[in-house]
Amino acid sequence: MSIETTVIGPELAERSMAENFRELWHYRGLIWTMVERDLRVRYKGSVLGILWSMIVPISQAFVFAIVFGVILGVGGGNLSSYIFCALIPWLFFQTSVLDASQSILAQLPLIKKVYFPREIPVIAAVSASLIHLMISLCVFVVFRWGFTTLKYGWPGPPSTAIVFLPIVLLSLFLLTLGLSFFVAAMNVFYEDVKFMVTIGMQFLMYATPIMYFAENLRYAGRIPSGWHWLAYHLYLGNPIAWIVGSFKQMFFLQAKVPVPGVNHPVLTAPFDWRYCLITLVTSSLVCCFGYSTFARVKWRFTERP
Amino acid sequence: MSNSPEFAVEVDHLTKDFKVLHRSHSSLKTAATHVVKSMLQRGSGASFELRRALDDVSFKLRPGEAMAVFGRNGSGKSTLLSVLSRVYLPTSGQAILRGRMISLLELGAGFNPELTGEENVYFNAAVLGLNSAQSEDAYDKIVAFSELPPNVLNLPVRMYSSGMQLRLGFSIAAHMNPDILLIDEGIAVGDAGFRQKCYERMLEFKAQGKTMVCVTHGVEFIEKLCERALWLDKGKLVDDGPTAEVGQRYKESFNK
Repeated sequence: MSIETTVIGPELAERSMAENFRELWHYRGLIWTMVERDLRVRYKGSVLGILWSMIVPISQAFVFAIVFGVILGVGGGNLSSYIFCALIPWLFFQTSVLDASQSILAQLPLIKKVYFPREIPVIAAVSASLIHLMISLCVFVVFRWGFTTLKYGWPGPPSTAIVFLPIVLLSLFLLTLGLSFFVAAMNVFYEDVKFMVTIGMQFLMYATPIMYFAENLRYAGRIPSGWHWLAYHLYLGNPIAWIVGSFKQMFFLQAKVPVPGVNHPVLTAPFDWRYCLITLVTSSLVCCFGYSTFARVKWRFTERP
Repeated sequence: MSNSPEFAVEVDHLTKDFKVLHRSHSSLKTAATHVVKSMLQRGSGASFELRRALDDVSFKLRPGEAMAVFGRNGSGKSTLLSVLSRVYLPTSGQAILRGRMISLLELGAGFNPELTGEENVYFNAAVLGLNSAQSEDAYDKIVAFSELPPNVLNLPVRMYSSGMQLRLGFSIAAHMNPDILLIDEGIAVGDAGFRQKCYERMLEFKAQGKTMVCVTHGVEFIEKLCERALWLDKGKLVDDGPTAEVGQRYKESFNK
């Protein structure tokens, strides 16, 4: 057996991405242990435990459905299903980034004592959310094709575009991981970042088609006519907005939905594979940018002023 | 070991600088103006100075050698261990470690107060680099060594006394089977009985031919454990030689 050799020098900071990945692969067991610990700590002392990860998106979907469907009177009968569906990627994105922003700071006492790759707390935070995403996806399927069928009858199959789900999930994961790396690294040096992220998430939530359809932009009265096309496509250029909208397009057949300001129901847009590709590219770029920023400063975490 | 290398630890002109920021937030207003100033001056180097914590330190350790590092507070001995355990990167110079290294810096640093003792043992073992099969093997030995009753292991660590936490922390660290150990002072903990056990365990490591670096500012116990000693002062290597001699000169320096 060859002897494990560790070379320590300033050049460790300039290690290539491939070498970093090889090291992460070596530590993959620790990633899983940390995810497990995160989940255990999160549900320790609560009676319902992991059930809460199912209750949160359902209750949030119902609150939105009541506000928009009952009080404001917009949206059709399917509104709560649509909102539930859109909340799955959104809540993953939001909780991952918010949890990850604190992950390095929370592990700093440990990082100051023992060596392990500094990427691990961030990857673990995002992975823990990924488990929640998978659970809520299952709950959604039961809700849509079980509960709804019993109450309103068979809602029809998902769109054939559902085959793109793995690619969309990959884009979502890369986007979230990249932003999480960036935010986690910045938050070590400027703790203002977590407050900025909280505020940013509030704005971003309304800039994604959760409670409305992206198609609404094509009919918005405040946008001067002639600019609707540009506004719609700029809006979809935001990867998280497109991803959230695409979840509706994948799990629902095209349907006519009521749109404020138009007196006839409007047909929802179909899944667009070109946007799927654009989003995959932008998400990968965000991931590379976020990770390279993180890798550049990760050795300074323990020396923060 | 037939294929053991000539040196287990090679430290070559190791230097570490820390940035010390000049800031004294005496009021909210000065804090605010500081933020604005530091934003304007970022990268200009005007708002901090460098403090050299380690200054051109070199030494080599053969496998099985145990070395003590003496020095007063702030002499750079903890920085040396931190650089060797990859907590900080050196500013310049290089260190090569041949063999599996673990550092016993602060015990129980990774304990999560909400998790049980058992869960924390597995988590700490994973952080220190054991896979799940290895942790499974080590678990019973760790528990036996800690002398904690089995029902206590099922309680959250927040209910442990600090002595119990340290016992568990040392027991985990003592069962990692490394080739090179970095040991910080204060590792021998708990009541007199357990402290004795910690010393014995370290002597056992020595008998097994592990390479050790022990940081301390006391001299007594270390003479039994380490045959060689370094003396650091203000980050510089002052003396390197047999523990008794270096320890003697180090002690005398206090009387000057």
